[in-house]
Amino acid sequence: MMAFSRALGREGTFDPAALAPPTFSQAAAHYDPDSHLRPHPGIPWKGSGRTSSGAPAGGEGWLHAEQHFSYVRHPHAGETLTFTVAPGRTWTKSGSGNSVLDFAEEVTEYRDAAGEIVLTSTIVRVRKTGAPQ
Amino acid sequence: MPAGGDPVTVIMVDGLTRTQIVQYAGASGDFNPLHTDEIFATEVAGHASLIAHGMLTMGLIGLALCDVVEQERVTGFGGRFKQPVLPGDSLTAEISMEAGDEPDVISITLVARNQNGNEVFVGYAVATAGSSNLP
Repeated sequence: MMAFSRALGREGTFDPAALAPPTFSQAAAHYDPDSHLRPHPGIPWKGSGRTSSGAPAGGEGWLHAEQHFSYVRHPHAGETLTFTVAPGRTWTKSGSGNSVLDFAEEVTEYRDAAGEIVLTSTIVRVRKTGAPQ
Repeated sequence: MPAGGDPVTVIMVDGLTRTQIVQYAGASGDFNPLHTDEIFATEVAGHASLIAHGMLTMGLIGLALCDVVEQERVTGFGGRFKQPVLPGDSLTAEISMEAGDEPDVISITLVARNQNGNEVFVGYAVATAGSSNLP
């Protein structure tokens, strides 16, 4: 939480009574063993090194379009939360020209040691695909 | 801050640095090279520079929100990323409050603009009302 606060421009002093910043649950990526957001041993990473890209850029063109949080309460320093991730709704819209925009939700529930939901995070991703059939 | 008044303006960041973007990558665990690797972002992905994490922008406006509303009262927070944020950008938050549809609930509108006045994030928050916060 101290490092996260510093990354948001605050002094980020250690405070054992502090509430987690509202978007702190994003840091759960550190605890996702399969997170695609960081390099893993033995697997080529797409960032630059000897060349401008160490691996094919890959991906399916999804962009982080929206983000929503709902809080039962705000977690505080020292708590351990567990999370489960599930797909949410999907839908399409017409984009510019003949393109189609695909939207997909990913819903993550964070629970406390008692198993109670503390907060829910919903990512909405979007990608542009070809002309509608 | 009374509900229904003029928007409160909060400076989120004055001249975003690449260092702060790297700090956010480390803190959040999001090392996507679009955000951290200028060579990849420009030569491979075709951007003018690396781009800040959308969630860095949202984290900044979240703290701005908590500067004007007690965090414990915030029950919902969300929004849409409208435009990339680049190194050097300065962001300002506009926070407007009004009574919500339900009693003792405040509806909050959030807008983050860059130094050119362009919206980079538009969103909302929902908070329980303090006794002095309803119109």
